Amino acid sequence: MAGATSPIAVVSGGQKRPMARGMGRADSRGLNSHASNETSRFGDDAGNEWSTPFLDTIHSAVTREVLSRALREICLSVGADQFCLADLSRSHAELPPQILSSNWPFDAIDLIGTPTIELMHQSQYATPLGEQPRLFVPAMPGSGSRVVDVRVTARLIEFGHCNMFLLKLKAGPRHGVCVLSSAAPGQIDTALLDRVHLACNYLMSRHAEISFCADNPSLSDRERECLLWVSEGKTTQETALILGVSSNTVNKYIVSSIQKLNAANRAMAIAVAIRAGII
Amino acid sequence: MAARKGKRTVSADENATRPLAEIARLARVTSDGVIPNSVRILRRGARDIGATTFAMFYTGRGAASARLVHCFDEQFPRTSRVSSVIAETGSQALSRHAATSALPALWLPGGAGAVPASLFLTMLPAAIPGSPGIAFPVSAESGHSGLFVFTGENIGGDKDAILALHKLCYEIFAAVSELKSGSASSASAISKRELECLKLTAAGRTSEDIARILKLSVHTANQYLTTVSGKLDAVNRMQAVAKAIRQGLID
Repeated sequence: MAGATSPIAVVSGGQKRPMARGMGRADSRGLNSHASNETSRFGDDAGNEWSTPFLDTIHSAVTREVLSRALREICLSVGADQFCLADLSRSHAELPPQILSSNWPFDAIDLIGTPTIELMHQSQYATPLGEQPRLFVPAMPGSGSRVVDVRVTARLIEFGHCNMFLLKLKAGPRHGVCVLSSAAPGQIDTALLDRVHLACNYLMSRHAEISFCADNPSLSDRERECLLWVSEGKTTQETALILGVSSNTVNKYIVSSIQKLNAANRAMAIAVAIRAGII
Repeated sequence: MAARKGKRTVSADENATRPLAEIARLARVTSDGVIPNSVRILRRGARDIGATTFAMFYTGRGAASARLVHCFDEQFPRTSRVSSVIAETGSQALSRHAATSALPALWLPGGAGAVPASLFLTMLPAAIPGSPGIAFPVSAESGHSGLFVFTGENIGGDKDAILALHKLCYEIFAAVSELKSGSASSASAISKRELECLKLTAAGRTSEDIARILKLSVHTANQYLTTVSGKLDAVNRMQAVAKAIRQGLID
């Protein structure tokens, strides 16, 4: 155990340099012997490897500014002109999808619209993680029109979305899509897209961490326990018996957790808590 | 009731994991070469990052109530000792991570936190006894999610190795989770209308609201919710909502 801490210190020191070195277990005598100094080769001579200086230095919270800078770098590295990262998971069905970051012109978002992004996310061109991303060309007959209507297709072409890649994202309870577009055909480097896909997913995940902390006050252990038992189908009286408290106390805990989760009633509180990973 | 109180976490967990355990079992039985093939591919992938063991788990939706459900590991069709230790001692930390994040997570036996989290790797706060390891959360179109865990004394690698292995995990999970999708029994029986009612209930709507939105009578809306509760083997609509979300029937 004592031996495990000192090599880590070496790594954290090494991470002051712009290239973050791999996975911390710097006690890599085994790694060095059989993989011949792989970590130090990475990133410095670029070569065929995916070099991303800014992404590599993200160690702190992924704020909106960090997100947009990171996506700009991603675009630059694959040759895309426009990006749009949208979070499509919503706690309330009536809320529109949330665009987390985008360099689309303001009127493009307005005219193309968030419903279009959701439609594209549901289309056959949207690629789940682990699959090679598929090319979507809105202008191609029978391609764009199969996803969105003619009017929106025209708008997409007008705003320079010649080639598009629709990358589906899924991180914990959240799902979303990252749309990368280029104005000229064949401009996006498809060999890098699978890694870009994962990186976008990591970005959404890291962004969700902070936004979740910010707008979800944590429930107390007792509140969490009460909600868990109610979600298991127990009545207030049964929960009270299980926890060894009075049913008034159980009700009090449930009411306070409903308020903390900003829910309308018990059923919604349970849904919100499960989606957020609280119970 | 006293005995009940003592075992309360156990009984809740069994309820939450039962369908996943069934899925994992079905995947193993109907594997048809997919799992042995995955084991071969993963063996090569594990070697690339210096890992000596690996395992695939299904994870439930809720972080605190769901546990890791073992599917296969490097000793398929047997279960290795390492993966049972992970499922036992690490399930809390690992399933919590899988439920909230998509990042590869590293843990070290000597305690964590010395290595700053980066975009490509995060540290798990809780350590699991034994050798260091790395866990890759994955998900599939079917709505299931899982976790691939690699351990080894000399585990290490760079960003490209992590990304390559994570992509491999996604590919394998897609293939494995497809195995059982033909045998998803409870989901197929639930009608579209019942699911709509359940969704609205999860969004905090009352029966009256649902009746108005779906242009039904209140009785019909209640009837849908009663039948869907029965189909999900739930005693009330609260449990039905919880089960539907945990099983991925509704978002």
